[in-house]
Amino acid sequence: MNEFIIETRHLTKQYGTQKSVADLNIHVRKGRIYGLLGRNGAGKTTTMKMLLSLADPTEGEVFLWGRPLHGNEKKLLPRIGSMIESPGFYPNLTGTENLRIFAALRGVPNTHAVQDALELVGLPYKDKKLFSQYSLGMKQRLAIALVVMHDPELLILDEPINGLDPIGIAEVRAFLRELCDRKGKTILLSSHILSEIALLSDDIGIIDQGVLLEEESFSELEKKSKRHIHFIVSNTAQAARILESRFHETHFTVQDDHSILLYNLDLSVGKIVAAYVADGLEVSEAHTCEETLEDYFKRVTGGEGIA
Amino acid sequence: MEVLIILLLGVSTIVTVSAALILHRERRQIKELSEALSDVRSGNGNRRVLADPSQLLAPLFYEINDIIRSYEDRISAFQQAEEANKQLMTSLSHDLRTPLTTLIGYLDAVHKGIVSGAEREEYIETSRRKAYELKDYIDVLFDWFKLNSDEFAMAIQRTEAAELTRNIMIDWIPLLEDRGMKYSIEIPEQELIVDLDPESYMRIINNLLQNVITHSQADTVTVLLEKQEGSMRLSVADNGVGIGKEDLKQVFSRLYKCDKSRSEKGSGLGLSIAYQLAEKMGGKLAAKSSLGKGAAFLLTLPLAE
Amino acid sequence: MSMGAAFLFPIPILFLAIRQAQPFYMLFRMVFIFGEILFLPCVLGILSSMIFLPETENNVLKNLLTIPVSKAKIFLSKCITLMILSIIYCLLELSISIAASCFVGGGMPLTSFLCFSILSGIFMFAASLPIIIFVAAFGENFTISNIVSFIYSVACFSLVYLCLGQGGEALLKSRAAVLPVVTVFKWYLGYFPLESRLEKYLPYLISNAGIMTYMLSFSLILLSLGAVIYQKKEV
Repeated sequence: MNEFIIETRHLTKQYGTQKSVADLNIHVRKGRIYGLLGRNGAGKTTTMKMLLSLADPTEGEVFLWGRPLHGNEKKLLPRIGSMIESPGFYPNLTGTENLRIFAALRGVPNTHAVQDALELVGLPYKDKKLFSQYSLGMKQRLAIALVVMHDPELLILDEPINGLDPIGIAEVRAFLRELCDRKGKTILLSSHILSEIALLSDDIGIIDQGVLLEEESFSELEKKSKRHIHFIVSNTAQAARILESRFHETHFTVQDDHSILLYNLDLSVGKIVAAYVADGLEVSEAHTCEETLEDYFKRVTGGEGIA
Repeated sequence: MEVLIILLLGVSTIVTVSAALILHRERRQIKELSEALSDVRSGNGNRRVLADPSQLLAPLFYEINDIIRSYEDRISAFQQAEEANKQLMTSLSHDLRTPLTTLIGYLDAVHKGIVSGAEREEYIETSRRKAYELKDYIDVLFDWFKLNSDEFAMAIQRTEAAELTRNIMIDWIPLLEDRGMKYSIEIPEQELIVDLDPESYMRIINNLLQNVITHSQADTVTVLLEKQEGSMRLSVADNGVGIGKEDLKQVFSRLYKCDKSRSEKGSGLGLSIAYQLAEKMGGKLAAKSSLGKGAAFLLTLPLAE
Repeated sequence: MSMGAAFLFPIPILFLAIRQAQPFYMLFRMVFIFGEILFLPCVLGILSSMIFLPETENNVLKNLLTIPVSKAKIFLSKCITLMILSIIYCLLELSISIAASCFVGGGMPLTSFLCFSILSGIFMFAASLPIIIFVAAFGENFTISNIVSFIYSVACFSLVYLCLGQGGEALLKSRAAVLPVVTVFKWYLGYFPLESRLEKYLPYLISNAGIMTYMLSFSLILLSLGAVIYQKKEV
C-alpha cells in the first residue's frame, strides 16, 4: 500500500499570466485529517478542483492512492466524496430525489444508503420540501449527505463549515473526527480560519498565493509554537533540581538526558544559566521560543495573519 | 406486412444492443469488484463497491460491502485501542521522566556532596517526598489499568451514603484548611441508602477534591449531597478557573489535561478513574463549567429500593 | 410549463391557413415553413438553455463530474433529449394540422406525413446544432442565450425565404446551398408534389438518402465538435 492517499507533484495552475497554484507538493496520509489553510483566494479551491479533475493542471500531476489521476478518473473518483464551494443540487427536486439521482449515477454501497445519509445529517427522508426552499444550513447538510452517501475512503471538503450554525459546526467537527478516528477515512479539508484547522487537523498545509509554505503534522507545529525556553545542558537531572530548589519552578519537562523545556518565560534565562554554570553544569544552548501558533502563521504567510 | 417486418427488425436490434450493453456493464462491474477485493485483501478495509440499486448484481455487491464493513469495524476498534495504549505509553514515559529526573538531581547533589548540613537533609526529604509522589502516581496508573482491563473487583454493598460522605469529608477538612481554602459542606440528616462500593466511592470524592486542589486554582470548594427522585446527587463545585467548552467534552478521557504543558503534578487520570468508577456502580459523573466561572462535578447514584 | 408554451407557436399560423381555406398539404407546408424553419431553431435554442444552464448555474455539474460522469456523455445525452423533443414538436404540429384539416377538408397520406414529421424533427435538430452548441458551451445566462437563438432562427428563416423569392435560384446555386437549413428546404420541396409555380426548383431537390447522409455526417461532426468544446469548459 502506498503511504500517501493524495500526493501532488509540482502541481501548477495558470490562468492567463496569473499562477493560481504554483508548484504545489502536498502529501495526505491515510487515516488523517489534512487541513489546507490559506486566505480566500490563496488557491485552496483550485487545488481541490485539480484533485477532483474538475480543472486540468497546467503542469504537474496528481496521484491518488499512488496512481496518477489522469486517465484513471473512472476508477479513482468514485472512491472520493467531495464538496467544492457551494452545494450544487437541482433546485426543483427534494433532497431525497436529488440524492437518488446521484445514487443511481454513481452507485451506492447498500440499499438504504440515501436514507442513512439523510439521517446522519439530520434531514428528513420523506419530505416534500424542494431544495430551493432549503435554508443555507440545510443545503450544506445535504451536501454533506452526498459526500458520505457512498461511504468513500477519501473526503475532499472545501470550507465544510461555511454557512452552518454553531451547533452544526460542532456536529460536523465531531462527525469528521469520528470518520477519521473510527472508520479510518482520510480527509482533506480547507479553511481560512486558523482555529478551525487547529481543532480538526492532524496535518496542516499552509498555502498562500498558490504556494505551499509549510507542511507539517499539527503536533509538530504545536511543539514548535509553544512558548518555552529550551536548554541543552550536560545533565538534566541537576538542571531540573536547580530549577526546583533555586527558582521554585515546576513548570518544565525533561525531554531526554540533555534537553529540558521550561514553560515559564518570566524567569531570566541569564540567571538560570548562571545558576547552572555555578553548579558545574555545561550549558550548550539556551533559546526562547516565544511564538504562538497564530504568530507562527502570521510569519509564514508574511502578513497580518489569517483571521 | 413490410412495415411489420421492419418494426420487428428494429425491435430485435434494440433488444440485442441493449442486452450487449448491459452485459458489458456487468462485466466491467465484476472486474471492478475483483479489483476492489484485492485492494481489501491488501489491507484497505475502507474500500466499497458501488452499485445502482436497480442493477442485477446490486444485492451481491451490498452483501460484500456489509461483510467488509463489519470486519473493518472490528479491526479498527482493535487498532484504536492499540493506538491509545501506545499513546498512553509515550505520554507515561514523559510524565514519569520529569519527576524521576528531578529526583535523581536531588540525590546526585547529595551523593556528590554539593550540599551539606541542613540543606542536605532538606534535599533528602524532598527526594523522599518525590519518591512517594511517584509511587502514588504509579498506584493510580495501576488502578487505571486494572479498571480498563475489567479486572477491577468491586465490593458493592448496601451503604448509608450520608454517613459515609461525612466520614470522608472529616478527613479532608484539615487538608483543605492547610491550603487555606474555604469550604462549605452540606450533607442531609436523612438516610440515603445506596448500593455502592465504599472504597470506590471514597476514591471518586478524593479524586474530585484532589482535582480541585491541583488544577482549579480555586479558593472555595462546595460539597453538596442531596436526595433526588430515586437517586442521590453529590456535587463538588469550585470557584476556580473553570474548564473551556472544548475541554469539557474530553475532561473524562484518559490523560486529558486542560493545561497542555503536562508538567503539573497529577496524572490527569484521576477524573477518568472517577468517571469509570461511577459508571461501574451504575451511576454517572458529569461536569458543568465555563471558563473563569468555576467548575462543578456531579456524581449521581441510584438509591437502593 | 414553458415547454408547453413553446409548442403553442404554430397555432396562430394555423388560424391564418384556415382563414385562407387551403388544402391540407398546403396548410401543412405553411406550418412547416413557419413552425419548423422559423420557430423550431428558436424553440430548441430556448430548450437547450433550459436544459444546459440550470446545472451550471446551480453548481450541479460539478457534483456530477466528480461521480464521475464524463462531460461528453452529459452533452450527448442532453442533445439526444433535445432531438426527441424536436421530433415531438414536429409530431405535435402534424397532429394540430390534422385537427385543423377537419375544418379545411381534403385527403392525406398519413404514413407519409408521419415519416416526414419525424425526419424533419431530426433534420431541424441537426440544423439547430450550432445554436445548441453555442448555448451549451458559451451560454452564461438565459437572456443572452435566448436572444442569440432568436437571431439564429430569424437568419434561418430569411435564408429559406430568400430561396423562395426572386433570386432564389441563384442562392440555391451558390455556396450557401450547403447550409443545413437550405438542405432541409430542398428536401422538403421534393417530398410533396410541386405545383407549376415551383417547378423551377426541380433540379435542386435532394433525395431522402442524400439528405440522410448529409445530415448524419453534419451532426456527427458538429456533435463531436460540441463535445470537445463542452469538455474544455471550466467548471
